[in-house]
Amino acid sequence: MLEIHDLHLSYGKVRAVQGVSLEVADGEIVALIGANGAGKSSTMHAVCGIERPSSGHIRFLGRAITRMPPHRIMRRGIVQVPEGRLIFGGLTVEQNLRLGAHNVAGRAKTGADIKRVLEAFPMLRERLDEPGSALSGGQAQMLALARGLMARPRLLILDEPSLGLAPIAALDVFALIPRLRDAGVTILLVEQNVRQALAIADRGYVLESGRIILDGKAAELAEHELLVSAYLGLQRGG
Amino acid sequence: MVDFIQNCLDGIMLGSSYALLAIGFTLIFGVMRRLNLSYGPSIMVGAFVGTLVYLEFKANAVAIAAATVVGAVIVGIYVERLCFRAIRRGAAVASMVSSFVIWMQLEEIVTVVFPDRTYFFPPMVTADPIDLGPFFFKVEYIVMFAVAAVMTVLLHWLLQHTRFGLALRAVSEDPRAALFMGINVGAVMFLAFVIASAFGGVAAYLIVSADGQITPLFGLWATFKGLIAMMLGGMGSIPGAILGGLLLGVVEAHSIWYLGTEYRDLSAYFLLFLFLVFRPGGLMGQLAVERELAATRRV
Repeated sequence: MLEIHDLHLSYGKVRAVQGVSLEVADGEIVALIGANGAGKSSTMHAVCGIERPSSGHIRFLGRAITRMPPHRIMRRGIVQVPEGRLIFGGLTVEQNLRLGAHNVAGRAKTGADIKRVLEAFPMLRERLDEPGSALSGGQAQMLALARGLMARPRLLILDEPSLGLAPIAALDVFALIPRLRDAGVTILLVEQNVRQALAIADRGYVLESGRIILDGKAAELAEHELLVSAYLGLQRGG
Repeated sequence: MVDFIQNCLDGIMLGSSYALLAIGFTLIFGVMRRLNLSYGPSIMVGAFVGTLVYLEFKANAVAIAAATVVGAVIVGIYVERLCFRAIRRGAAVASMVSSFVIWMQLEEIVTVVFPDRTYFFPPMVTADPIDLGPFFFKVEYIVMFAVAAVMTVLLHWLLQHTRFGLALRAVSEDPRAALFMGINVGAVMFLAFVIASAFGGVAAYLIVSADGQITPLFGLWATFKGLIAMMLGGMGSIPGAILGGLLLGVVEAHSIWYLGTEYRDLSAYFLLFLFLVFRPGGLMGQLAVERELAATRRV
């Protein structure tokens, strides 16, 4: 479904991504893990057209999408729930949901989609008229996910969905992801929370300093000594 | 007391044109977070296009108004391409300076094409003032107020009830987040510029036709009035732009009556100074600042 081949991306002299190749098949949950600054978000931003890669190829559903503008990539079905959620605090919850459907034609459809999404996220229903800024971190993440679904994604990229959440709220998020897949959405999950990400993923890639250093089945990765030591190191480091 | 109320009424009607100018300013600022100093000169060029249509074709008021608005929009697009699109985001000072350069350029061009400097601009209506009890209303002021009110209502509808309006509000709150929504941010900014220029063009026609004449200095004048009204109301706030415009109009009307015509602009600058010192966020700005804080504080 998604193929990234030898992707490079730089910010000035900083080479954030140095030859990343990865694939996501229809119906999978794929985890992209790695420490802060490993190039996970940069890779995802290149996929969505928000950053321009310096070289490499990205194909989605068999067609090249490298360097397309973000709104056109989204129209093809790649939707990203960004790191930090980026909820519009000055707009209401409902307006945030409507914005998610900005690229989906038809007002009537948007109304029906809001109903459908609220069934999956009932806690948003009584808050529809509240400003986005009134939500807690966990609620904001739920809104960000719901808003992502409003765009009718085929591939949903979740960038650090558990970051900054209370442990219980993070559990809610991780419980939700397999249900999204069961509903027919392919998931690319970018996470620092390695254990939980691999617990729900089918496959995983480990990114370090802009390169993929490891990939394989999620269950196998979770046992891999390199990852176990790096993961424990991360834990010790805070 | 009758004088005072008459001044207030005149001021509100005059101020409605300032409100249109300020709405244009604040729309551009709200979406781009940049000051477009050449806003006044662009609509001045629009008014000269209207003058040209009048001189060449002896066109009627509707055609002149249309030519003014179209001219203002075309020059607005030129400004957007040259000093906002072409200059990278983050280079706010560069684009402000370049908008100043374009201001000079537009004034020069108009001075070359229209060497007489002051030109007659046909009034939109020739009718006697209407008496209502002890008060009287100039017909061109009534039209000015009515048109401004209709345009404000239209803009409110556009912003609150359309997909484009929601996208525009999203872009002005957080352009980066808007990218993730699949909003074509560049296109939204471009359209905001077009709308702002159209508002400016309408304001220019209303003001210039009420004055009966046009000079290249109208650009400077319009930038000042729009900028002052926007600052009084609070940058980036449309209700603020309306309130600021009306307040500026009322203060000017009083100072013309009680102090004399020559104090009109001086009183405007003094009012701006008072606001900058005592309420720098403007009438509505404080709210916007708080909302912004709330938005950035969430985790």
